[in-house]
Amino acid sequence: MEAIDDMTVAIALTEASPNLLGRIGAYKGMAIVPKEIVEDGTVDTFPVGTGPFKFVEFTPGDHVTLEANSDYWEEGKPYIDGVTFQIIPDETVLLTNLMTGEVDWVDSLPPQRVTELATSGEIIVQKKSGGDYWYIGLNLNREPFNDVRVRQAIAYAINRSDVAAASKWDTATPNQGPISPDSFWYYDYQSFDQDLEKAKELLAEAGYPNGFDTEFMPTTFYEETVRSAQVLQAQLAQVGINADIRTLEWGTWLEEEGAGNFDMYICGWVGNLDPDDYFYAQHHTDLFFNFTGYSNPDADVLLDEGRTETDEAARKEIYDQVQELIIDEAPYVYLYSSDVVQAWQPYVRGYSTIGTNAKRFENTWLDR
Amino acid sequence: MANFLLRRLFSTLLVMLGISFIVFMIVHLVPGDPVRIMLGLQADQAKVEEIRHLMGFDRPLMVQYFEWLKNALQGDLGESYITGQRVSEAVAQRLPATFSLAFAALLIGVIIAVPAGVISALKSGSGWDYAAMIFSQIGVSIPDFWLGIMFILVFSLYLGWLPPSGFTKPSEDFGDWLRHLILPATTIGLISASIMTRFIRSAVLEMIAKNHVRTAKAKGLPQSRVTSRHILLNASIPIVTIIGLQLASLLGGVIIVEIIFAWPGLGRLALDAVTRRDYPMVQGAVLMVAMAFAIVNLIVDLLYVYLDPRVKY
Repeated sequence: MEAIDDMTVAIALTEASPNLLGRIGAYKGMAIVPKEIVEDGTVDTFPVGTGPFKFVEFTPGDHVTLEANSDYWEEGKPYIDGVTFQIIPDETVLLTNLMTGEVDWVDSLPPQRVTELATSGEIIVQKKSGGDYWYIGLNLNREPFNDVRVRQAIAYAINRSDVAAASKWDTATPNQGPISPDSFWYYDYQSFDQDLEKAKELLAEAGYPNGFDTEFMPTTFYEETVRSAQVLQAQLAQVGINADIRTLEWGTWLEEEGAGNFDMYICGWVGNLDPDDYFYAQHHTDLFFNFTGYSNPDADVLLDEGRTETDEAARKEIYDQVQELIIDEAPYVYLYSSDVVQAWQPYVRGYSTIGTNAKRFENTWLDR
Repeated sequence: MANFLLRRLFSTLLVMLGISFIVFMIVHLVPGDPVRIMLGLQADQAKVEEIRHLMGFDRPLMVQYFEWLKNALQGDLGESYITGQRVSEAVAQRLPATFSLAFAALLIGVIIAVPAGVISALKSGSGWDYAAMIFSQIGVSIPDFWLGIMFILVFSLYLGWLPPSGFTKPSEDFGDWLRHLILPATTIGLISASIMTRFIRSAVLEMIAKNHVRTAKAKGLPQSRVTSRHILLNASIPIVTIIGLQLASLLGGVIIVEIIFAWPGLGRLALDAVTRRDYPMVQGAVLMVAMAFAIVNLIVDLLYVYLDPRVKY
């Protein structure tokens, strides 16, 4: 990397990276910070960046206080003097804070209340389908999940609408693939519409005509996975698959997932923007986040190609193929794409919800 | 007295050492890898190994413990794995909120429990007694999170009298501090009062049955004298004990109420630290709680000297 002048940086790459801007600027992206604070480590406790707001102070786990950055590159912005992010762990109390006006904006609502609140007229609610997808991860290193027919049987047996409704009420879209229909990269490939007969057939072919016993592993860290597990348990029972539910807290769950101690886990990937985000780390052979043990050289070739192909149309084709392949082989059984839901008081203007869950207040002002 | 204090100091240090060791072992042996939790989504196996090594997680547990102990004895409790904040600073940050809540709740509890317990014992079997017992039974049975949420819904959402959650430092805005303190302190205070009422009632009843009280009455002393000097003064020892125990446990943080009221106390700090396997923070929070217990117990024991002339150290 080279600084050409005060306002320009040149980045030289060893291979094409159509994904570059996303990797720098999106949800899991980076910030431009002064070298000194990284070297002395204070970047952790007093970050300095180039955004519309400046860090003032924080109490970890409780709140972060920001004030307007008078040196922001866009003249005149931000309009508000500052933003304080207050952490309120209980959903009901969070909502009460919003309703009483103690806070002006919230980024989570109890999903079962979203529709009612949206139509109440007292607060503004926005839902945007984003880059979040939720799925069942199967352990290909264990029987019977090493047999693709068993995995496909599961994909045929479930009813994604019911799972989505039970887990997220109106804030999720059932999906047989990971990419949301709103995205440019969406590929309409519905090969697993619910078909209990087909599921039973496949199970019989694979040698399990009477089903088998197994276990779901959701986590309390994401309450929705527990609800999903309960619904899925009932659905799979219809084809003879008897699943227990082993619910774990986050730290233990991560340990079990990493060690491969599971049959079927339920989790999600959030903040995905570029198609590479949806597939590479999860399904490429031997990568750290490939917990299912999936390994397909053809998929690897496609995934590597997709990373470096700069022509968008060609890229779309590659990822369409990737989706067909991965959806059919079902290392993941996709459940639904969930929405980003945020709500605010009517006097908050100039803010809108973004599908990647980024929170941008530089255009916001308060009309009161 | 000096001897007593020295011995107390020594035994307290021993207890804290023991606690720090046990907690260290438990939290390290429980499944869950802080590196994995820390690195989140941008990690790969190589990075995990690297960080593991950097943080010394690949060394034997005893070595890691003694490393922590060595630093702790020099006043360095380390830094949070998650935020990088110094543990001592993080714990200190939580103290104003924890102290405010603990003392306010205790005050409310004591103001209710002492009269209620004493009167119900003195008038045992009367309407007052039954009322106090029913109140305390309800209080002990009600879940604190339910009570807290009910208070928030009634006093904040429906009546709009008080803010629903959060904490403001008294130095920043005294009125605001009070307004935020009322609901959580009352939630805990009522439940604490219920617990203490029963103890206090028992303690006083026991005292009433004693021989020296019968003698005092037989001597013809006025009832008020009998009550204050012979019953209550002697019952004050168990009463002070239960109040001390309540205070110590409140100072340790009240996790559930802190979660409901978004109260930045020690309880939540400890819970978040355990959830994320933030070992130094867990050690720091636990040590703080142990110290609170030790100090309160010491104060209660010293109070015994004033209350009971037979006690000498």
